Amino acid sequence: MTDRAIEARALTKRYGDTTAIERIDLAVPSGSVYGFLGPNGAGKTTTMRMLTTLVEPTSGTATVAGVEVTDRASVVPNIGYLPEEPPLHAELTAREQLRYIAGLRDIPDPRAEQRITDLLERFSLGDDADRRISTYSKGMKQKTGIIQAMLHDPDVLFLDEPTSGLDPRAARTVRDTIADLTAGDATVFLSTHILPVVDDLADTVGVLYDGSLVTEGPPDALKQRAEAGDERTLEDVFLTVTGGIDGAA
Amino acid sequence: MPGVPNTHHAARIAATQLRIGWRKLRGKSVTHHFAVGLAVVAVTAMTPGITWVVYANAQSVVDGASAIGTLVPAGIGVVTVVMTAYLTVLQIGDIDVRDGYLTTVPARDVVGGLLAAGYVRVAGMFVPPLLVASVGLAGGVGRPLALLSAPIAVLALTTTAYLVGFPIGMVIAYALGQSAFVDRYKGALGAGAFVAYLALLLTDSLWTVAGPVIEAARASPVAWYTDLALITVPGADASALRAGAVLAGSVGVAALGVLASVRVSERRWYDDGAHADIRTTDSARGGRLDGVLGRPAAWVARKSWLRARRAPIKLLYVIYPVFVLFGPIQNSIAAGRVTATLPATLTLYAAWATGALFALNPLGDEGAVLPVTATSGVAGREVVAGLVAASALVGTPVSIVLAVVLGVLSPLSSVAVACLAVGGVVLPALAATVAAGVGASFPKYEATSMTRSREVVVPSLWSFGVYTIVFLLSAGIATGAQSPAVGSVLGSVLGVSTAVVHVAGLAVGLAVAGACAVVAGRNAVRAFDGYTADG
Repeated sequence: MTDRAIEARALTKRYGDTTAIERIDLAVPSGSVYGFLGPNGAGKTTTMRMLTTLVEPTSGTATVAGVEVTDRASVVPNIGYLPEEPPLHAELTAREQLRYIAGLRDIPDPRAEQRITDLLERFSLGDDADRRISTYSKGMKQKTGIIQAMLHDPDVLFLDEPTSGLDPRAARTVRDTIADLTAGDATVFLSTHILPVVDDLADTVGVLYDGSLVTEGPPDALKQRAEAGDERTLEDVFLTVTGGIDGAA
Repeated sequence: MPGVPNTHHAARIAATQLRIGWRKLRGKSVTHHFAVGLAVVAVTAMTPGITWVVYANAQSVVDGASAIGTLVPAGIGVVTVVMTAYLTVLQIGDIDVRDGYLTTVPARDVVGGLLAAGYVRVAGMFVPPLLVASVGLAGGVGRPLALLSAPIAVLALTTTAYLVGFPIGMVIAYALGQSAFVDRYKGALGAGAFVAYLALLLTDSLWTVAGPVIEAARASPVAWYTDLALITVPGADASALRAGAVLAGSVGVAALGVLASVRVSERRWYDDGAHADIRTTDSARGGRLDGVLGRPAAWVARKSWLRARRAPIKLLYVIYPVFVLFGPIQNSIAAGRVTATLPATLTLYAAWATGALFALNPLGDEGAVLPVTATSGVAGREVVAGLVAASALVGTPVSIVLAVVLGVLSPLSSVAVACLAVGGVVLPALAATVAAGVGASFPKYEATSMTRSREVVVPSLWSFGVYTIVFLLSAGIATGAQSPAVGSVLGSVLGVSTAVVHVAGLAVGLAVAGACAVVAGRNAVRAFDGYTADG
């Protein structure tokens, strides 16, 4: 894997006359957590979909795990992706779903079984793993989706609102898991509205507003930049930079 | 090899798709199971018949004396291509949780899985009987080796046709997804296509369209599958060269079909689709209806119209009984004039359809909004009045026009036409009230899949059936009595004039339908007022 897990240059996405993403540059080092913030409709999901190869950029370039995103078949084995709605088959049980994905990821059976069991236990899903996903609560589906995304130890993990619908204990498990992953050299690209999660975990925060990256940097630096000499929170930074381009630090 | 699916991944995806499909089927209602079971029984029952026909005609095919020899492969090929393309557009060409798959395995593997699962679904219903029929062929010609060559021909033909139909369906789906016009008017276009299909059936023109295609297939190498099937039968008019060529051609076409499927699927999934510009509209405004119905009932009516306009597919079930009208309509077309039975039949259908439009699932149709509606303070009678008004204001003008225009053009007497016109005025509102009462007793809250990506809540089968029976047995008296034959028979039995039978039939029919409507209306009001989420 290269030093840069994610690299984007002038990445742009247009739908007809509408510009969803305007020339954003990203450079996310391996083994780090990148907190991706922005108001609803700012273009966060579109950016993630371009980086996960689901959407073709209109212009610009991007590499993930050192592979051009235009080379989809080569990018896919290196990434895990949890979209806002976990991609699960409601008719399967969690264990069946995870075994299925492990098979598609070509994880050898004994290793897959061990990993599935460990992760199910870690997320307190072991007792419910043989129930159909259709009977799950939103939080249980979210946990299954997270396990599915990280099942193959991807180099780069894209998480879109991973703590959505989770109770505080499960949210804490997700945070701890992300911290563990990055300790093991994985990179996490994290989109969320839960600012304390980003504040706790992110090495770098980028704020997207109206399709443009309006500010980027370590959380502490951003907080200081928001108003020098005053104690500020990441929420203050977010509100300042997304109040309009003029408000960008 | 680029573009070629990984067979291990494809097989796993296909197996899981089939397993999911089976579990979905098991989760359906008893009536759905019954319908599927009926289809399976029908196919199973037909198989011996098909086998016998093949057995009886086998020798004439072998002797080259039968046109069936070329017609059968051409027919199977064309039907398989058309059916596959159609189902690919609607169902088998896409996959649930597509984003999850496309970030897990290459798209080509997903396509491979869809192809395999789709083949089982498309061919599952007609390939097994054809394979069994191979026994009839082998028996008919007295050559056991035909048990080998005939199934190979069946599988080669259906697989090749399937792999031609799949990319064609994908191209159509892709083209549809690239058109903002289609995106905006897909409801109207779908309805138009359905009406065009009905018109073909009603006018017996389907063969006019399909005939040349099948004839072209007969004149093409598709007919050579007969050579392949009969190549093991000594004395048969079968060419080894043609048999070999069609087998090799099948392999080549199938390979190209897989590659084309992968290519077009990738374009369909990754290219930006066209979307009609999102128009900001505010069609829901108060108006004169408020003064007539009162504001709550008027808003219930407006809400029904708005939802129907934006999602017309949910009303598709209203068109299904049109097939029952085929006989009277075809008779009129064949006769070149409006027959005596047509005005009453269509007026009755128009009234029935009016009732079924908005009132047949008054609770379930509210969907997730039902708890809000139920706790909003609106009274049950206002909801029912709104639904009946929504239906009657749309359907009554249609039923009046059908009754009067067709009645005048038909050989019906002026009394019968007048009675039909009165029925056209009164019956739609009564129908809607009956529908509301029946629908409240048999609500359906679960959504039904209309296409892979579209689920809508439609009335329950029980509502549909009970409403239809009650309405036909009551309102049917009013319209049925306008038939000259009925009027004549009853008139002579009762010793009254035909005109008296027409008027009396109308009065009795309206009285019975009215009584049903009173009972049903009260039931609907009570059901809404007493609604609780736990049933």
